[in-house]
Amino acid sequence: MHVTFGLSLDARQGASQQNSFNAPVVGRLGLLSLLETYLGLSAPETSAAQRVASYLGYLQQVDDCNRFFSKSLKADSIGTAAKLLSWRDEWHIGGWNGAAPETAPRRVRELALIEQSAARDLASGEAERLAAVATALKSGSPTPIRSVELVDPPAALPWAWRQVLNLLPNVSVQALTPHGKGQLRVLQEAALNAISTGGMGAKLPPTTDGSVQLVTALSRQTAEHWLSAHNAANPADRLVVAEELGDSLDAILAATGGANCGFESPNPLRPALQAVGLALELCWEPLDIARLVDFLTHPVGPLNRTARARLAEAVVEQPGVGGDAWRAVKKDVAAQDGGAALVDEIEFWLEGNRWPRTDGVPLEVLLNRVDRLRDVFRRRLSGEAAQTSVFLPAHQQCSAVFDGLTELLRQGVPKLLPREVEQLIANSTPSGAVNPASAAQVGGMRSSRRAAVCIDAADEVVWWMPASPALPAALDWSDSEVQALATMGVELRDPAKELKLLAVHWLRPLLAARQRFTLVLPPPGAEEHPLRQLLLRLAPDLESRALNLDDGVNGAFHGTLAEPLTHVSFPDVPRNIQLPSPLPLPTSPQSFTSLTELFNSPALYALKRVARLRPTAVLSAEEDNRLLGTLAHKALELLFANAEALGWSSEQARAWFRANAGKLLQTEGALLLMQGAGVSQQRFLMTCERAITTLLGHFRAAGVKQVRTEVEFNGVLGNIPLTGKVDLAIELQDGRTVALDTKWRDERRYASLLHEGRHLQLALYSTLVDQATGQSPAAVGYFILDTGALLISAPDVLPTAQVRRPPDGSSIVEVLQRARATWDWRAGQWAAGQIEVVPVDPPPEYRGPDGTLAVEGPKRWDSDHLVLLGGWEQ
Amino acid sequence: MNNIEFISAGAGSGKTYKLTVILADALESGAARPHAILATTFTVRAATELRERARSWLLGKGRIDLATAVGQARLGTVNSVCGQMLKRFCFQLGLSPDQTVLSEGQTKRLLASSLSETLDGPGQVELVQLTTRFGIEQSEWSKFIESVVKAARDNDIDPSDLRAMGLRNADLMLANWPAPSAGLDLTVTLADVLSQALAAVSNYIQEAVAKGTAVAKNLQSGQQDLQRLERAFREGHWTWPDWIAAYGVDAGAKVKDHLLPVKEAAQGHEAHPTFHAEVRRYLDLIFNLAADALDTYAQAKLALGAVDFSDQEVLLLRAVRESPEVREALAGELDLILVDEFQDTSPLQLALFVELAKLAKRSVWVGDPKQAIYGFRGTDARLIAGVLGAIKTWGGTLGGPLTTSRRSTPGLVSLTNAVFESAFHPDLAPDEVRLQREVT
Repeated sequence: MHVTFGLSLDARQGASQQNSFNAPVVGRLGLLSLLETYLGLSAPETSAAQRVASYLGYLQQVDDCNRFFSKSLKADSIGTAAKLLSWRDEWHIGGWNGAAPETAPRRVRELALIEQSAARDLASGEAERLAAVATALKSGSPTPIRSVELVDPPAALPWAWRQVLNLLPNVSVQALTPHGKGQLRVLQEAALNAISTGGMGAKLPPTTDGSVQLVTALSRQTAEHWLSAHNAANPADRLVVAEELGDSLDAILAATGGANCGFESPNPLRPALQAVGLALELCWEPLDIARLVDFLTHPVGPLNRTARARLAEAVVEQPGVGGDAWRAVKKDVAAQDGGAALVDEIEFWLEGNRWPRTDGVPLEVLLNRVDRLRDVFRRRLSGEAAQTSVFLPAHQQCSAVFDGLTELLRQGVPKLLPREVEQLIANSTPSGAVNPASAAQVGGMRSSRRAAVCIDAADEVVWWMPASPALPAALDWSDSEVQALATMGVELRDPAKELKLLAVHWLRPLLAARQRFTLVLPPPGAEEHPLRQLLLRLAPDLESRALNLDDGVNGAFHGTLAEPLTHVSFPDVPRNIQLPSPLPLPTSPQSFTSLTELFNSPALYALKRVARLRPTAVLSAEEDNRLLGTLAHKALELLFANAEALGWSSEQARAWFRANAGKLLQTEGALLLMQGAGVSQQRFLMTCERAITTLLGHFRAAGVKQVRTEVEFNGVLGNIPLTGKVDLAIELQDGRTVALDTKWRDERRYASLLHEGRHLQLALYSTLVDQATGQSPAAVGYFILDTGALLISAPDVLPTAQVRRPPDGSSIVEVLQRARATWDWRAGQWAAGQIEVVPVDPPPEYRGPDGTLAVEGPKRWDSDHLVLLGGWEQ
Repeated sequence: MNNIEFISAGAGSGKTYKLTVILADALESGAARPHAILATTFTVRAATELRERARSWLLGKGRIDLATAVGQARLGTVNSVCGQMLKRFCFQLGLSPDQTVLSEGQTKRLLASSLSETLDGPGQVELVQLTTRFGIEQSEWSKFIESVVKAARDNDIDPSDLRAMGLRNADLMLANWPAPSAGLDLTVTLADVLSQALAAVSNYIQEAVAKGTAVAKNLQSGQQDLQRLERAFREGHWTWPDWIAAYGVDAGAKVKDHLLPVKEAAQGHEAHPTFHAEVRRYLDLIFNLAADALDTYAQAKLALGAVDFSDQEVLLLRAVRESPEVREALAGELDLILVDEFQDTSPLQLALFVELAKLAKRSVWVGDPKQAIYGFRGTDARLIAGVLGAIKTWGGTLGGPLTTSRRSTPGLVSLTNAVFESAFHPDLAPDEVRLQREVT
């Protein structure tokens, strides 16, 4: 076996021309696994999370509150353990034996102290595994390896690796070799010479043979389309090096008929990897409703997705767990096949106990949840390959979290805080998951995510938009600590040497090109990559000869890159939408809201009520006036469900509200229970409590006999079927009735609606009550919750209410007459196929005929629909 | 104080060029090791440009080794450089090693949440009562407190000092108002006159209706305002804006006399003992709340492993001032500090640069006192003028100013000189303002 080994070669993607069973091309992990396999040292892999959890135990054993890490350990135990474990591993791979003299700096001594126990039991990291390999090799254990070719200089390898390589046969170092021809070759040699010697030679003559090409574009998309067209027009053995944005390039290649290169884009935020975090988030009290909605709407989760979606809608309608909407969904779910099991699942994941964030969640609870989620993912691993590729990383993540939790449980840790849970998950997801749709396709260009791995030559190498390079991190330790470690024989990495090696790695794409090297520059504004600066210093002419794709957009250089578009203005908004034939108005029951839409904006009504167009909405629960109003409505509904409520004193009403508000918020207003919502909650409770006592005061003063809430009435307006729900239907001792609508705020607005005779909503309620009971209400009105104002239309009905008598000519009967006339007017327009498009704040010419209601136009909150009607300015 | 040099550089006078030369020369001469250079700029783009130009300059001189090594220098915005150091010194500061930097939006949300959690139930009730009384909208209750917290953090004000400011503010404010009156209960007085005025206006309207006279719109509207206010005072849920509203009730000339007692009584709020007491209580409460929130907010961030932009400066300054380990570590790795756009430095950043200058072998601060325009970020032209005055007393030098505009036409340069020489007087002398025209 002839091995090719390089520090970064684990990051290769796709097939290598050199790689074969007997000649593997491998990086650190690859060669280590290979050696362990042949030496019989393979063992089940210990997850990073488990090692971190173990190391945390050692830290806590030596922590006396005065260690250098004590405060950080208290702030973030798992993050601190992960950091210090990385230090420990890095020192070990540099040759640390775990000891430190008394004269060593404090942090070195304290890590050595931890190491006294860690060295015995901690699961092996890379350094320990290399040491085991070295021991086996020294003892003469055979391997099939006959030679190792290093693509990086031995001095760049960590100490522990050098020990192993010293024990392998025929280790040689691959020389950096230019593969190009012609002027490309000249540039390759000049760049190689500059990097090798640190000096610059004379500037090169202009590159005229097309073997080196800079490409510029103002946008990334232009360049992506160009590469797709270039590849299609000029098939070749082509390698694309894209350290970033390779997935975007793949998307354009696929969209333009090309084949995916297979840029994997590993990312820890892939949906499947978020599931465990969301599932554990539900353990906290108070419940974060936004996270609950996230859990219910997330693409991946432990519960049936349809059930989750329905519960999400219930939560958005009534933010909380266990409200009417929630229970209705559960009831439907229970009635389905397998419903009972699903209800059990809902109760397990969503209705179980919760724990305060400051106390932490018991480990057993976390283990139980993670184990069940892991099992969910395990069951999904047996499907199609694409599905497996989605769920495998999530299963591995859950297993790692489970192992970490198990280790913590073994140490006797009783509970974990939110930050600890978050960090455990983060350490269980070290490299993220790849894009499951990123597989390389037949016919695709060869690809690489790292310049360092370009060790195979290609006819053309395209380096895709190199910009700010990722540079070696500075060391975490002070000069004195580094010196002390050096004295102890520890060879730490040297950022200066790493930077030099990086400069060599940047040369690899250039040197790998046989016939042509193409450097596609990022759009203006990005940092100039050091290699680009070097090439332009060596061959300044490259810049003036760059291919400017934006100049070529209209040319035929590589086919059509973009179609020029002629400017077209938005059409003028028509006064009417003219239909070819009459359109009858619906015969279904109309509500106040639907009638208002028809009267004020027929086109809006047509879109919403006839075409039934609904804007797309992201499900989210918001704390706004609508929610507060809904909660207060519900509070009144519950209040008057008590037959004796009307006889209560203010004190009794207050006591009732205080006893019942908690459950109401828990089930339908949990947003007000969330962390940080305390002041909003108090404001709501105070407002609602005062509204209840004030309202009861009004009712006591009037001797109200009965109050019914949310009473649905059906009737007609002329020949129009009508429906409506009266918030408070009140019966007085003398048999007279009052219909009230409750509003959260805006006392002035509703006072002026009555005062100006614009109380259509109340007029409709009046006629509905009349038709249902044979008696018109003696008064109609509004109860304003935030001020406790009761505004009614007639005197001598509720003595403590404020009378806002509509003006002459605006009695209930007259308002209803105008409503019928308005309906007839709009129906006449529709019969002529004309649907009027009324603008916001309409000018006088939009008024209807005499005897109709004023046309107020649509409201801005309907902007999603208004855009379809030419309201793009809004 | 170690070697500090301030270079005044006017607009278009070649500031970036000068910075590039200083950086590249320091590397070439060996005066600064690449990893021991720290340069702060105002924008990410400016940091990128400085790195690009330094690399290009060194490549031009054939120093590929140094051009590569520029990558080790810490170049970035003040926040990014401070953020890197905060991670580096996480153990000295007792922070999480894995810090999340909060965006401005996240900072605002977490602070608002911390404010709410700082108060217990009765405290929340009192705050709601007071904000309601002052007519502060529900959605606005935390804004003022947030700005107090932010100002305290940006100016490194101690919580105990902050607590005392509430009552001091109240004293200063109320000193401009009439002293609290003793004797009559002004609220009862206003409630009474409101009832009387409402009765009088209602009678007037009833009589008018009985006579068949049209009732004017302003009369009706005035009556409704009186009804609303009368009810609010009768039921005891009035607010201070209601007093203002009572003063402003207008029901037309015909009932004007009935409303005069209302206006007179409403104006009494200025001397209302309850008003004085509630202003005092509100300011005391919110400054105390802000002081408590400094701690609650810090704990909330600690629990999340998060830092905000202010922390990056405040905590680092604390570490540099108080931790011998941090000072020792930095003393060994700061050969050159470059500060670009020095005029945009906030007081906190200035304190930090001064502390770092004590540890660095050399500091060069480049800026244009005339462009100190980011007042909203805490900078102040007087601050820069003060630094210029003090720099020599610290043993620093004022480098040769860059005064030749290479960006603007001679006419424009003359025009700006004419305008700004007088505009900056007396903070800056004319020769500190004047730009020279480039000789072509």
